[in-house]
Amino acid sequence: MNTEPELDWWRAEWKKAVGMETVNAYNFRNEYQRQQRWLRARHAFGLSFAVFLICYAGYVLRREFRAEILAWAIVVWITTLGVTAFSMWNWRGMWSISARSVREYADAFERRNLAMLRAVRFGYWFLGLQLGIAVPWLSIDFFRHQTSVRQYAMDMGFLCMLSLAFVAWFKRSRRKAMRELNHAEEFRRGWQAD
Amino acid sequence: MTQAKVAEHCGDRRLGEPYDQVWAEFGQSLERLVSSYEPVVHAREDLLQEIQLALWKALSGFRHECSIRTFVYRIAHNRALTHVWQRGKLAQASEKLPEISDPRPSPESSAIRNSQQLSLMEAIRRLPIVYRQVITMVLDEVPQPEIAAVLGITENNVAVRLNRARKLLREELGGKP
Repeated sequence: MNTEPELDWWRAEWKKAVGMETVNAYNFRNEYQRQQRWLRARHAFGLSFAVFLICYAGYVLRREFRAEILAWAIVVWITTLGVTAFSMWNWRGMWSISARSVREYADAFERRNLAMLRAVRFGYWFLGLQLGIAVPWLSIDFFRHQTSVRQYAMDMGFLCMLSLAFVAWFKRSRRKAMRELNHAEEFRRGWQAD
Repeated sequence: MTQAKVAEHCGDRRLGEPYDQVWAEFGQSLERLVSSYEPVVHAREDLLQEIQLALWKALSGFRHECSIRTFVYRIAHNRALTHVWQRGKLAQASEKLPEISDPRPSPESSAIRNSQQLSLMEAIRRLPIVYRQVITMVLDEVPQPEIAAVLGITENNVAVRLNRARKLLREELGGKP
């Protein structure tokens, strides 16, 4: 079979397949600005929250300098800086990959999902650490009669709710990352078959 | 549109011209590319919008390390792959559907009027993605060195994939040209 006429025929038919005029009305410039605003707000919030935690711990310590408060402030400073450093390290170079070749993009996509799985593992570890500090701390205060039963129950309830919300979020993120990783892996297998 | 024209305007987002010029030149090819990845009309529109947005965002970062066509096709294929990977089972299931109609005047139904075009598009959609990527670019007359640059593989690899893609496509079409 002479294959060039075949290719020409396919090409001619292929090129007739156009005309999705409706989508040209889509205002992606507004969407871009909305996404940028959201991204900036998220970064600003994350940074402001970290700065607030560090300053607040310093303020409380300055107002009431005791060994217990000092220990608390040190925990806040270390965990805040630790989380910020981990986040920066984990997501470094993971963005602005859209114009790379498909092969590089697939690698980067996989790395991004692996980073998400790493973030989830870190999140579980960090949550465990926070609970490991907060629960004994609140319980000691309660058994020393420094807090009421009502206050203790409220604090523990709040911790439980917060922990459950984080666990649900971690599970969802992990599921999504695993699913995307599997699909990317499937694509890579097809890619490597050549 | 020439590459020089795009180069002239790249980085000046106020005018919106680089994007408009790129879309004028590659818009139809990208619509076809999107159709090869996504059979469902409304999902296809979503994907095309995602590509438009990704292109518009990326154009200011275009540094002429490759041709504008390579740049555009890279973004489009990468975005389409993400769409497929993120949709997962939904996309796989919809790949088995011939064509989902839309109550509105369907963009593609108005474009693909005859069954030959439809069967070609469906046959292309049934190809594995790695072959689909090559054959769709070849059908849009993208030169092989540029296909290699888009995909990040060698030209020999492109030729091998093209041969397999043609063979598979021929089989899908029942051996008829």
